[in-house]
Amino acid sequence: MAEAPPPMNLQQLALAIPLLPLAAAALIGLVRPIGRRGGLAAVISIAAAAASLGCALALLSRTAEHFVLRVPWLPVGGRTLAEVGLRFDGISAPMLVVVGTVALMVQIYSVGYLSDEGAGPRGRYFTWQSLFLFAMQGFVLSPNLLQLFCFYELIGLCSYLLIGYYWERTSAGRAATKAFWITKLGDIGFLVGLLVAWTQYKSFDLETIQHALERGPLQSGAWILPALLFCGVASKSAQFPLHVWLPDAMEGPTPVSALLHAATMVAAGVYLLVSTSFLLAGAPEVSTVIMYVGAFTAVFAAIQGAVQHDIKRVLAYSTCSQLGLMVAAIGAGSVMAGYFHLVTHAFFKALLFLAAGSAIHAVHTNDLRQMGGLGRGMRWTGLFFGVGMLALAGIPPLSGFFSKELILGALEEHPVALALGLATTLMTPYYMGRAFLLAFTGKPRSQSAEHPHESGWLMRGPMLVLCLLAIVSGGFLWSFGRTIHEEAELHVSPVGFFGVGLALLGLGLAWMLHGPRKATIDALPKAVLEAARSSLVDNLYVFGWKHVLYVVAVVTAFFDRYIVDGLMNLLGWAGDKAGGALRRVQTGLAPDYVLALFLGLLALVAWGVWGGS
Amino acid sequence: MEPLLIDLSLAALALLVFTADLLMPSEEKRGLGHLACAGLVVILATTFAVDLRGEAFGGVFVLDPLALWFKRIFLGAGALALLVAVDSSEKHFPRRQGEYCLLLLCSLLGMSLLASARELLLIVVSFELMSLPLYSLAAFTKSDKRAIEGALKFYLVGATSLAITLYGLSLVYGATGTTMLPEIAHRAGGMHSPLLVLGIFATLAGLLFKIGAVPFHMWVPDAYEGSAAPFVGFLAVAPKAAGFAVLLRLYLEAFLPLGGRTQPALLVLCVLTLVVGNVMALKQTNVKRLLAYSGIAQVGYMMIGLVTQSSDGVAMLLFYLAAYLFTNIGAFAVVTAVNASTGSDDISAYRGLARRSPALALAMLIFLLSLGGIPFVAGFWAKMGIFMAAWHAGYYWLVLLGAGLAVVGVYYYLRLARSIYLDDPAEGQGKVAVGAPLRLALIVSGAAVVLLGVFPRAFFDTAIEAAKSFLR
Amino acid sequence: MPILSIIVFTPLLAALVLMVLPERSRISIRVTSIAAATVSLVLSIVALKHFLDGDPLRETLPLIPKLGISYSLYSDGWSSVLLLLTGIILFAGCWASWTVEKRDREFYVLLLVLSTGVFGVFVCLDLFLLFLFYEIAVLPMYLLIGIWGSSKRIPPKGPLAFAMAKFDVGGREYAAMKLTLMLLGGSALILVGILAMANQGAGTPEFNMEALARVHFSHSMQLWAFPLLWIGFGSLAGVWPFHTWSPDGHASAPTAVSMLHAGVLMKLGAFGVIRIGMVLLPEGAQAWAPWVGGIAALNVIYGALSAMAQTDLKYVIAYSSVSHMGVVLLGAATMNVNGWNGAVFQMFAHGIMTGMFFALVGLVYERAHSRDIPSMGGFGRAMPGVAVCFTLAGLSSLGLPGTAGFVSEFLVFLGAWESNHAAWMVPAVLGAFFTAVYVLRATRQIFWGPSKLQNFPHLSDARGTEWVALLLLGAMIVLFGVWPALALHPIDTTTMNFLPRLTGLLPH
Repeated sequence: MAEAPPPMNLQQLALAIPLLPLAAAALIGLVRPIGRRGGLAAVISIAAAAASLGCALALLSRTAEHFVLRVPWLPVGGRTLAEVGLRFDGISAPMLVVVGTVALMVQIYSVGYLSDEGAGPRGRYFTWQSLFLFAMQGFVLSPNLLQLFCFYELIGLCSYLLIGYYWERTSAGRAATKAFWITKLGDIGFLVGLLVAWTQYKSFDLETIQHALERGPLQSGAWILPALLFCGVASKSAQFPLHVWLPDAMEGPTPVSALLHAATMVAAGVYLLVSTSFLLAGAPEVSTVIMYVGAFTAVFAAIQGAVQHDIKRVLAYSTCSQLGLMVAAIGAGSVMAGYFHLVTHAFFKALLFLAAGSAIHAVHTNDLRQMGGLGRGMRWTGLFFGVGMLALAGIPPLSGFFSKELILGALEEHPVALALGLATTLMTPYYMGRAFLLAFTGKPRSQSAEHPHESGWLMRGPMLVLCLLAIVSGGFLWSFGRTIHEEAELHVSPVGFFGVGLALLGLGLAWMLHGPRKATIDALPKAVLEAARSSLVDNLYVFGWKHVLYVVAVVTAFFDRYIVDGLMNLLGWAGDKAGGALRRVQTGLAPDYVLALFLGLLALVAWGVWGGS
Repeated sequence: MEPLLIDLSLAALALLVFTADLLMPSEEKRGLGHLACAGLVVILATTFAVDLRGEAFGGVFVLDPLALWFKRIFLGAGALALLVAVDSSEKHFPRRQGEYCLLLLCSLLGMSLLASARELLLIVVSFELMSLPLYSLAAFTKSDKRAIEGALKFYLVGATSLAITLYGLSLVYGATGTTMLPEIAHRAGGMHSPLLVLGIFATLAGLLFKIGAVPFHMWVPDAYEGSAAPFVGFLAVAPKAAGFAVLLRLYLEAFLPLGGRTQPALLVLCVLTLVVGNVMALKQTNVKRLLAYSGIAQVGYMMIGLVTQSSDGVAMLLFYLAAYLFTNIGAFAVVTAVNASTGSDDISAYRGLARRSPALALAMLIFLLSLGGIPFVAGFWAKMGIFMAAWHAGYYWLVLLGAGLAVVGVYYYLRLARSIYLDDPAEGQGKVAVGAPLRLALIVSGAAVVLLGVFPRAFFDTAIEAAKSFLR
Repeated sequence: MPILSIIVFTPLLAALVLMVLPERSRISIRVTSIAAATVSLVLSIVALKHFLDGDPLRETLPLIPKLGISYSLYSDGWSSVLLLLTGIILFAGCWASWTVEKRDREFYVLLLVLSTGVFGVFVCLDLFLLFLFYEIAVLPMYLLIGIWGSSKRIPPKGPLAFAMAKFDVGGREYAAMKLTLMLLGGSALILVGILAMANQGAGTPEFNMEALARVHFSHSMQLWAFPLLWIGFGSLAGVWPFHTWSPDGHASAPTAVSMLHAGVLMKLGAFGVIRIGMVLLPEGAQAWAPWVGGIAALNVIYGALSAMAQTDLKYVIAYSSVSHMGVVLLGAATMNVNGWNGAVFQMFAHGIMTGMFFALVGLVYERAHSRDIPSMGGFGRAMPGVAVCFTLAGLSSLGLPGTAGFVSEFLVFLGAWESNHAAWMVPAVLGAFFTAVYVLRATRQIFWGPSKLQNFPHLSDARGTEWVALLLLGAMIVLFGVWPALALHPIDTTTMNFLPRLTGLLPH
């Protein structure tokens, strides 16, 4: 590792990546005149994003000279408890580019998508967008767990703000708050993880911890830290049972969903897992758990995806299930595969969302039942969505193929997980095909779908870029992969090709059931639909809040007001009563007074004669 | 004859007022009040100017720092009380102002002698001289039924207690065969005669009546409520101080050898006084009665100083008396003013006083805070001093009790402060008129209270000196 | 130049000026007060600077030698940070009460007097003087709440209804009286504790903290003296079950008063517990630590839960301070460097944060004339600025990284985790989560969602002078969240100075 101070220009480039968007956010957010002009805000934000992407690309070629930069942050006990800084290496480099690209594309796309929004809201929107980019890039560059956590939370905040973009809709408010709560819940694990890391390694710094582990693994409790960190991962990357926030997050504008679900929010979780994967080496049992959680999520979400009517929800669940695959792969020990899929997925999932977005923009509904035959009106969009679908399905030579192939290869030794993985590879093309066919082929099922208008180049341009990336990125990275990761030993496994077969089968199924001729909405058996649509897990959370937490809260409040405080009042009441009682002694009659006088005298004398010393 | 100067000049002043009263035409009698007051101030000034310390009549009469402290308190109280009384006495009994001043001066003379007396007979005589004028002063507003009733009770119970005191003292004499306090202390040393004990405790009862300690406090509220406010201010301070003077002389000098017996009894009564005074004040709605009970509670705090039987205790007791003098007379001056304008002593008469006459309200607030023992006013240091003395003497629980009851005290003082500051004035309640003399009295006592609160050092030092010279 | 004395007594001076000021125009009153606040604020920064430069300010002169009482001020790291806090809050408070109409002169006078007391406690080395300042800080509250407060009756219920029926619970005078009496009751205990320490040696008592720090008190004495100080000061810090003055008090108090009270006065209590109770009576503190920490942990959860159930905006914030003060005392109880740094930093962070909260609540209440959260909604349209600030304060209170709240809470968690009672970390962390739950819920109900503005005709965003407080406090929240070393470094220096008295062992 490069302990020697890195070349200056590299540092500046690396610093510029997160700071440019931050500057943009500050400019738009704090300088009202700019914030009020939506267009200007967009320009500034996009310029910053582009510049930061430029820096990222410039760095990408220099991954060999990885470096770490540390600045003291928390002085405690006369020493430094924690630092902030940058870590640039093979892991962060590609992620920077991916994030930068997707974010930039999404921002450009948004200009077109939000063209009919008010200027003020758009200013707000781009502030959050830039802030989001800053948070994500800062996260990717974090050299230590504490900083990772800080940006992790910031990402959560930004998605809260963006999901709640249409804040005047009750549903948007609920969705945003829900997303924040659930991710916060998972982050409790992360936070405790930090504490554990401190007690176990006396440091938050990833390098230091890694070295410590290399020198000598912990005697006991090595599993605690990765397990806790995984709680954080699961919440952000929407692993079962913490996935509930993700479908609702569709309340945000579609570009936001594209950003969240492709390269930022959900990617952060997996990236965290990747960058702390060295911890898993010492904790096989945790790895296994992670793998099964991932695999299960993959299938579970895939089924959910197959029954949705809202095209965005279909994509959302598909994200969920793809994340499951990545997590499973990492759990199975092939970090490379998971990370690879994260990258490729970022491109084609963003593409899919943007395409869906442009379709929605045209017909003003998310509902597949209202769509149909859009392909005629909007060839480009249809094409983009189709490419995205094929990439996601893992059809060679599109990017999805390579990464998925790797993942399946990684799962080879674990039959159950492999079975689940294969099931997912079968389901994925099916539900994607279903979505594509229902949306773009067949006859229009509503007036709005009759004459859809292709969206302008402002929206098509970014889609085109992402489309190309979705096609080539896989092959490119395949060759590039070695430099990304040490243990990158890439080989094509038989399972991989079996997977391709399944994918084709899935597409075929989709064609048979939902093809232009039949165009049935729901082909799956009733029971499955019922089961999948009954939001059981959701209800569990609702129950936990309404009937457990809130009830306890109300009881506590009552106890505080009417028992604890009641006792205080009781005190006052008692004093008052005592005063009243004593008052009666004061009769106002002289004889009584004299009597009291003599009684007192007697008592005194008695004391004097018999009592005392 | 230097040591006697103060008392002689007091007597002279009384005679002067008497003759002037005879000569003056009835419409100018107002001047008598001013005259007496001025005289007292002059005497007070001389006590600071010249050093009069010494003995007279072979130790029967002594002017030690302790006595000097008490005399100053009496003089101050007298002066302020007269000042407060000028207007109201002109209103209620214009032609008898002379008598009023005369009686008050005689009572003062009695107290002043009492502070210096180290011999039983002198104590008894000056005790009478102090008490009798008080009875008549209490009944001075003949027209007022309540005044007469209160005064009568005061007299009956007072006379009884006086009898008891005399009886006790005679027993003491019988047991020890001397009337000189030091001699008594000397002889009482190894003595175990029940007579002496009986005497000591009988005397104690009488004196406790004077300071209004529980269970000898019954007369206090009625007498306060009945008598005219200006006089109550005096009654609440001077006789109590005198009572403490005698208590100190007798129980920390003469009977100290038997302190082991008296002290526990005093302790019990002290606690009783604290509790009863504070608790009974809670429900009072008449300001005079409220102040009466709070006064009883204050006596409880002072008794702590007595109980400790240490020079610290005495010192803090002396300081407490000084603080109490200004605070209490000031408070009753406000009561006088309000009563004069509204004719009522009920708390409701004070509603929104802050809006009606802010200055008066502020003064009252200061006095109330001082009574409550709040920082930057006299009462705070008084209570602190007492507590510290108690702590030194090892009465930790007593400190805790005292501090706790102080909070109760704050409650009922705040009740008054609340109607002054928080409530809105009822219709028909206008500005409260304050005459020049009364205003002067208010300013003096208010300033003194704040001064003691901010620069207590000088007072503390003198008090500690006095206590050391008396008891070491 | 006696900087500390100037800091302490400038507000008092201004108060006197206001009282005698012949010219009583609205503007002159405010300008005078704000000028005084500014002086104190600037000088408190100077004091901090002095400490960082290694020559901390110190002023001494004997007051009553015979009683061992002297006037001595000293500003160490903790004091200077808390001075800064007080300066900020006072400054913001003066601006925030610009709109006070009723008897505004008296209002500012009392406000300034009170802040003199607060400043005094933080820099005072002499226990006796400290107690004196403490009383000064507590008492004006009675009038401030009693006169300018707001009432909201609460019907008596439950088994003790008969006792509550005697008082008008929720009324402003009730709140004022309860607050005053409970705090004075606490100060009675403090007094006893102080006297106990001062009168250890024979002869004249010793009140100087530095001198007392050299005394070794007997173990038995520490055992009974510490709880007195803990409960005495704790009652002001909102330690359960002596916190019940806080919800009513803060709910009834006018904006600036609750800003100062929740923002600074509660810190006096915590400061007293740590600086006097723990530093001067280390053995007692060690022995009682399990209780202190346990009850603090209870505070955190209990306060958060109670806040969750409230529908009255002010009560939500008030209970949240009960919960956050629990974090402070929890940090104190850990007795390790992280915990203590966290505790003091939390005093600062929470001070700023809750000050901002109450400023905002005041704004909303002033315009909506309602504190009932469920009846509100969609306020974000009418008052976007307020909405943003409220969110910011909320984020700090739930400990979001980048805000001051995170640093302190994280340090306290770490301290708790390292302490002998690792379990304390659990309620602390849960408390943070609960905070997220109720704060975001309140934010959503008030500012988000479909607009109910038709029910609130007078709603409008903050304007002119009202912005000062919000911007200042908001900037502070972010500044100290991003660059905590600003405050943490002085705090840490002093902690490292005190801590060895409690634990021979230093942090790893």
